[in-house]
Amino acid sequence: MALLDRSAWYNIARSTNWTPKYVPESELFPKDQSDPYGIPTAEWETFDEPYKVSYREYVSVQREKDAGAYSVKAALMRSNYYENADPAYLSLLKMHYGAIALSEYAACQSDARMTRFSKAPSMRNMATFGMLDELRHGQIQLYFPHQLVTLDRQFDWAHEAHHTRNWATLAGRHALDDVMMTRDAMTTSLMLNFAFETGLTNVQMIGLSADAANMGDYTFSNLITSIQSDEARHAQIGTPVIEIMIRNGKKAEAQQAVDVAFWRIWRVFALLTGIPMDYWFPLEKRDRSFKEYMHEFVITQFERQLRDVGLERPWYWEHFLDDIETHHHCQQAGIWSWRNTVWWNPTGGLGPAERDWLEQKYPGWNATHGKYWDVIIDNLRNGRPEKTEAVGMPAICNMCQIPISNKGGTVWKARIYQREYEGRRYNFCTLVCRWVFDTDPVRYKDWDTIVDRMYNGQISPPTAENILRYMGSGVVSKGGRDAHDYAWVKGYDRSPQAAE
Amino acid sequence: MSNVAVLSRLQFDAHTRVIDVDDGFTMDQVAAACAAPAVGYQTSHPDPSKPLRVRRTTDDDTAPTLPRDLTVKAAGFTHFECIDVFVE
Amino acid sequence: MSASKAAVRSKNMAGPLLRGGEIALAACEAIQEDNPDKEIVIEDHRTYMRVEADGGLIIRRKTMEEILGRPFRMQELEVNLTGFSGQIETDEDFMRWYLKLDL
Repeated sequence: MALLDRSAWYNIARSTNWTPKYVPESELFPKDQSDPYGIPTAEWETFDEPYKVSYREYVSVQREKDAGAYSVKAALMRSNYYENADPAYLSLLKMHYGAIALSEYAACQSDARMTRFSKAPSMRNMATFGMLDELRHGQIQLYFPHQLVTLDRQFDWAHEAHHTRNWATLAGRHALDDVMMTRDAMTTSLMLNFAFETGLTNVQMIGLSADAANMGDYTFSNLITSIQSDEARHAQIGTPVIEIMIRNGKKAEAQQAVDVAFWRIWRVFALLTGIPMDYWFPLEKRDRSFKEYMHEFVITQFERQLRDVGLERPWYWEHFLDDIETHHHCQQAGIWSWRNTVWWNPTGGLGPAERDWLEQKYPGWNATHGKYWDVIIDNLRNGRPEKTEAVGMPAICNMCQIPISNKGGTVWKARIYQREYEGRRYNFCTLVCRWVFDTDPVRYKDWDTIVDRMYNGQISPPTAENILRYMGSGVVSKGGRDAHDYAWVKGYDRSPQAAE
Repeated sequence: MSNVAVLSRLQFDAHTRVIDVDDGFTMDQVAAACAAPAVGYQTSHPDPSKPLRVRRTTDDDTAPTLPRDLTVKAAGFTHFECIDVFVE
Repeated sequence: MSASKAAVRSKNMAGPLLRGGEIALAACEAIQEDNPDKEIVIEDHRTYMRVEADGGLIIRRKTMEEILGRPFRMQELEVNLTGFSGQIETDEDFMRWYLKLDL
């Protein structure tokens, strides 16, 4: 039986709007779930997805993708790669799976909301595939680490992390809840499909794959680029939404949604991607620096796409460029010092050669971020390892939920930006996180950071042991320690000048 | 006597920190409490020949330095007061 | 490959990011055939190839079929299309990466 060409029937198949008789349109598509911008349905019906696919094509292509990913895994399973892998590399996998696997399941709900509540029938069609994509990503990224749980209990966080109150989980969930779980269909598309998926997933899923392949982990490298081929398609849901909003006088609203979401996801992704790229991979396996990847995928590629669809750079672009030089360096330091709070074993990873590399990639590193490590290295080299474990708590940002830090040393950039709202004091890491709060204080005001919870009785009494238990550290698995048991500091014995 | 959580911004430190201080503490005691988990752990004393002083954090860093014997209560610090701890 | 690596990047680069594999290699070849007037920049990053040209690129099903020596559905390219720069247009007979604004 000959099949019709897709183009012969596609337009009819996707025209699925009808005139409701039993309920008014406002009930069928309540604005809080559907379109708060009041754009006429006829306008939404012009939605023309740039990346078209039929269900038959979808199933066949996805089957091929899965067959590829699972067969690479099966073929390499006997190689004992993970049993012999660098422990810092395993930490990357633990962090990745814990942060990502169930977030993908969550994204399935976001696509489901678009599938049900978008007034654009073509968008509902594409979001259906997006929903199935995210289901695949959730399942495959639970299945792959599952075999590793017997190797190391910390891999159990792939499944557990989202159900805990670990500070890193709270940071990820707060951002994802904001951009994809609690928005109407159209805003979700701007925030999730465009700002998040088009803007930032490439660095994690494509950039990291090059480094993972250099480490010899073809299973993971192949997996994440396979996942990204789904993202490349369903991320395109956002583009027509932006075009329709601009055409209907809602450019400012679209711009703000993109600006909020891009910043929120950036703050989390910089940790997830930037830290392993610049600190955990052995020097000879690093493809490029995180900053260079950011230039390729975001500052060049995404910025150009942003302008091409009719939006502008976010107002905070200069702050963002500065944050690329700052944020993940500070958090590598902080996470390492507070390593017993996380579910992976970070490495300090800072021998003399690594410092030279960082100084070359991030001029000024030694005079700022390096000052922090000078103290740590001095403690390790002089028999005071206990002084490398942080005591007390850092201040936490009421928006990104990440410790409020900045470049140390004489530039002394760390600063808390406060806002008083309804008698409560909120603390922010940057002007941008505070701006996000100001865009909608009612939305954000009731959330408590892990530090707020120490003072309002949720963690009681707020002793060090209780805080760790509250966060799941020592409960799901042991908390983190240095991945290399400080072996990296031995480099200074051979090169005493470098340690000065 | 009761505790107040202040947010410490210690000179040259990369982190800001939550520090519990007693409302009877003098500013010298506040400065010492802020330095305790930081200096020698992740940062160095900005200038060991000089005492650490305290001022409220402001955008332009021009708040007056508080007297060394002023108490937390007398300074009027409240929950999450942001302070700079620095050498003059 | 005749592609130049030294070309200065314009502000209007667009094209696919391809994962390795038989289809990706064929696609690279097809793109060169289908865009004879373009200076194509190929960066090989081992797990992905960035294939771009000023003003964008097109790839045609017909060319892929000639190179592979078998029928090819344009959608098959998705398995190896891990990303792209610029905007995308998909059709049964071609895929195109382009930019609307000329900067």
